[in-house]
Amino acid sequence: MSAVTKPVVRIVNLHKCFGALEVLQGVDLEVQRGEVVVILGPSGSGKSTMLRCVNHLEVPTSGEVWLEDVQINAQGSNVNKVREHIGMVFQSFNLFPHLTARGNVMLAQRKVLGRSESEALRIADEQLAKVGLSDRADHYPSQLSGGQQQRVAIARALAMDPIVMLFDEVTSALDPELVRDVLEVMKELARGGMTMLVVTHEMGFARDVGSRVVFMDGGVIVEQGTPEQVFDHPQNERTKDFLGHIS
Amino acid sequence: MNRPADIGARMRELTHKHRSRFFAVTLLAVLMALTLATQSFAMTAAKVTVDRDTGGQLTRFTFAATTDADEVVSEIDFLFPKGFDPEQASVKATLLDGLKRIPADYSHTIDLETGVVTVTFNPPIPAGSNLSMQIHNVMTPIAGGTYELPVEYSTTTTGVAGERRSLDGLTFKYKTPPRAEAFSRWLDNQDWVTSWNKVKFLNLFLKPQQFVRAVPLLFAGWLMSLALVLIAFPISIIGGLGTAFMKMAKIPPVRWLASIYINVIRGTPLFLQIFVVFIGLRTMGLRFPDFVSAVIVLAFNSSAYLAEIFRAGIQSISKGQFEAASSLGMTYWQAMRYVIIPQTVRRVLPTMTSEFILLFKDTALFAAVGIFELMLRSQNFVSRSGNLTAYVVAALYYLVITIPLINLVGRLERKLAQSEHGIVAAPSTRRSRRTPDLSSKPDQAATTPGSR
Ligand SMILES: Nc1ncnc2c1ncn2[C@@H]1O[C@H](COP(=O)(O)OP(=O)(O)O)[C@@H](O)[C@H]1O
Ligand SMILES: [Mg+2]
Repeated sequence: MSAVTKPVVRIVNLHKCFGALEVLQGVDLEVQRGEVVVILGPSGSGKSTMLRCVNHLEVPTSGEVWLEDVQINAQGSNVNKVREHIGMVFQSFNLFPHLTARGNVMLAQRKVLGRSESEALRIADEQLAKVGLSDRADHYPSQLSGGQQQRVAIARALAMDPIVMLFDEVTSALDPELVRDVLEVMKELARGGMTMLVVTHEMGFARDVGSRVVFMDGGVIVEQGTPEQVFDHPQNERTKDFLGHIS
Repeated sequence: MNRPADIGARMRELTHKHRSRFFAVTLLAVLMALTLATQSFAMTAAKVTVDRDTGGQLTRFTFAATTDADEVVSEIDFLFPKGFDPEQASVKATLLDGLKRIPADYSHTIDLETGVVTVTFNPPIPAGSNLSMQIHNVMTPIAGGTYELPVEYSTTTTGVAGERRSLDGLTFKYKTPPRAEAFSRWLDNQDWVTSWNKVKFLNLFLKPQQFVRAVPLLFAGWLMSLALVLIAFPISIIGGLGTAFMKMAKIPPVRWLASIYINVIRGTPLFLQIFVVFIGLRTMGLRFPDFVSAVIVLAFNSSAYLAEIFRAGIQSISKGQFEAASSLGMTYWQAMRYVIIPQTVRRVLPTMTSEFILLFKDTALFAAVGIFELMLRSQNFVSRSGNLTAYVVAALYYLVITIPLINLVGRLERKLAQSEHGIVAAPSTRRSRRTPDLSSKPDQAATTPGSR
């Protein structure tokens, strides 16, 4: 992607401490429109924390987080307003168990975007169709498999017309045979030009879909580049070590 | 016999002389004339009264009369109408000559077939005596009304054979007792009730007569207890929610305030709180109707318990739910309202119902400050009757509410457990790998703080 266009997400010198533990120690990252940035790294390296700083689920200790031309962590910024435009999908799905799949996809459309019942319904069914779950719209989360729940969660986020999607290890909790359906949906999304930040351990996905791979360790970005660069010619020792363990 | 004529003459005289006094004197004269005129009949001034104003119970009949100057009475028969049972009757007679009491020797027989009580005087009653007779323990029929008690008697004028005379038109009346009372009196006469009551335990705790009396009497108390809790509980739901959010507030003093309130209320007996409010407020000059005070105490008390139930319930919802809502752009209150609270309600419903049951039973404490709820009413009933059946009736009134609710709690708990663990299990065989917070242990979390 050309650097001429304005980045959708811009992270500048981000630090995050949990008490004495400094989890993020100065992260800089820019994500351009349509980019699929895959974030790799060992467990505990701060990937989730960084992602959660993007939509302010974690409050940065210092540094800047921008969504287009709005700084989310600025004093007095309307966090809820910014979050409308950032879709997030969690490892643990976090579907609302008291609502059907359709209800899950409709709720925020109605209450946050103020869409009419009929419009929210139409968009919900549209998004559920996209993730291949038209026939499960009236099911409650407890009646769906993990893979189906995760696809509903993706539909729920997409229904808000986000300008960027955050995925935090969305397939880690799934049985292997269910992983593929979810990845397929994400691939489709990437092909459609969605800007995505994806934390994953699915190397195949990273290689096929990622436009850029970022390797994190110890709260900093150690190395980044195209999938070919990072996977085939890693420069950093820790990257090599990590990739060696994975494969 | 000529005295009425005298009066008539004197009256005419007066009429001529003092027209203005005519009417007053006429009235007096007519009354006197009437009194004197009746002397020409047999027994005079006869009347019958009863000492109870409702039927269906052992009643004392009083018969008063004056024997005529020329009759000597040796026997008096009381012909009790159908439905009256004099089987257990006893008789007492008093004879007066003017103001002087004369000794009376008499005996009575009872004819159960005809319901006639015969009293024989030996020696006979002297002529011109004032006679007062009491017939105790006659069972009256339950149905009220005006009844006639015919009385017949035999005279033995000196040397002359006895003559039968009768007194008609002697009436008395009483009312039908209230339904429960009537039922109870009906039970008095049932053989099975008599045998039942011979068992000491049954007689003390389950006396049928007391039972049917207590049921309608305690009903008002039951309504009072129910009204107290039905009004106080919704208030405490609101108060409890408010306190729960205060306890979870970001500002420390707000949290402390909620903590102090919750701990003080949960750490002291409700009994003490009742006295503080009823006596304390009154001493401070704040006067509420007792019912209002009672609702205030109950609501204050229950709010503290519900606050902890709600807080635990809300905090038992996984953090992920709140984060998912937030990430969709919902505000704190939107997330609470549409995501957290609906899930909390399902989780706390069983515990809330248990709290309602506790509160309902706690209304009994208001007996101590004179609220006429179920407990005080049954206490009063017991102290009046000396029989504990009213307590059993009160227990049944409590149970009518609590047993179905206890049942409901059980059903809600089972339903909750099912929905928490997925009614239709997802086809995954490795569900445990899912983050545990989705199916965390809400039951303990939500139940523990509510239990007393
Ligand atoms: N809320 C928190 N409080 C304290 N420590 C946390 C919190 N969240 C994450 N951490 C710590 O921060 C570190 C980075 O966590 P995380 O960002 O989840 O790593 P990753 O996603 O790369 O596995 C870990 O050591 C984790 O224990
Ligand atoms: Mg993580």
